Amino acid sequence: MVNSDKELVKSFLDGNQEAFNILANKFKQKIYWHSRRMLGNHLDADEVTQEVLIVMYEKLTTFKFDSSLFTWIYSITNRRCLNYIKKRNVKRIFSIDSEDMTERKSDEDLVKNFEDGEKLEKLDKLLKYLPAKQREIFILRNFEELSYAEISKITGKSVGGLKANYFHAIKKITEMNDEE
Amino acid sequence: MKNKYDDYIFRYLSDLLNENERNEFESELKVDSNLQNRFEAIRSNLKNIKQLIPADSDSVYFSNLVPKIRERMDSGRSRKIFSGTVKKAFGFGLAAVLVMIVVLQNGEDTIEPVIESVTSLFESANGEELNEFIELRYSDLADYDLISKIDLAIYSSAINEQIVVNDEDMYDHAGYSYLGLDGINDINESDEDEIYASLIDKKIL
Repeated sequence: MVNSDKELVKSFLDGNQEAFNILANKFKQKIYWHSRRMLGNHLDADEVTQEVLIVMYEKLTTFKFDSSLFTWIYSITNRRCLNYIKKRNVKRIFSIDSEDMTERKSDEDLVKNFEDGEKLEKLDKLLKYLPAKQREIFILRNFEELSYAEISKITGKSVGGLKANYFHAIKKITEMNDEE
Repeated sequence: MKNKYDDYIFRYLSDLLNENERNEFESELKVDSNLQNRFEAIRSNLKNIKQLIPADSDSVYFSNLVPKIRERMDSGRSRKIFSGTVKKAFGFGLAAVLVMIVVLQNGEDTIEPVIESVTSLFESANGEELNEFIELRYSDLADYDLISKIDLAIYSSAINEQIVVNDEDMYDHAGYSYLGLDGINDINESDEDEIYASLIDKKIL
């Protein structure tokens, strides 16, 4: 039985489709929740999650294990989320879509009970006020508990820049909390 | 209301203090009850945010996710929307529309570099790139590089900046401008902390 990420990737590249299913099942929730926190709604997070899994499937041949698979997947997810946010901003500038995309909602969501729904709504509301680069560091540090060095590998940004962005992120979050 | 200790605490929590400052902060924390109260309040607020995770999420969604993307990949492979010629024609048509949008939004004076960039992008794009771009619009399956360049061209004109539309030169892989300090890596970590702390002091960052 193969277990490690490296063995699973090798097995998948040798044609074992089940190995990919194991990898996808292992990472799907992390991908979804990172996207959900970055994008603020289920529909966008679902779309990005599916895209990331497809990219994983198609690009695993190029993965060289220079970093951990986790870092590689988070880099893809994070970049997709940032591109998505950039696309939304462009749409907003041209008023193609006047709807505030973070408010994009549907009856379809992951949480079914009221209490969980309230938690998520509160979180989406808080994170919405952070610019994307502050949001990413806040999420990766606060929720994923990653070190600056790990976040630097994922985002490709310098540790000093990340610290500065984290400083501003917690400052804004605290100010918002004080105002409430 | 802003508390006088806040910036000091945020720097400590962000790891922006050097070793001496850090020791000093920790010593003050032991004796200054106001600092202690504020520090605990901020830390507990951040902890509370971390608890904003649903206890129960839809397991059916996650169980269906992998079969769903497999189905999506299969249908993507079997679907060929455009032939090569149609793709080229569509690409140029789209470029013309984009340029018109930019002209309408910004006036002719500011968009010349953008027109050139968007047009040259389509002129230089090979069939595969156009294919990717078209597929991106229709199925959202392809890579974002090409659309990112177009978005950047439009965006830069929209904010009326005469920047060169080349995201490899101007932006790192996560999409951040190298005009900021983020791209400077030829200094060590402690220099960097000092620089960022001083920029925050001076309200530049």
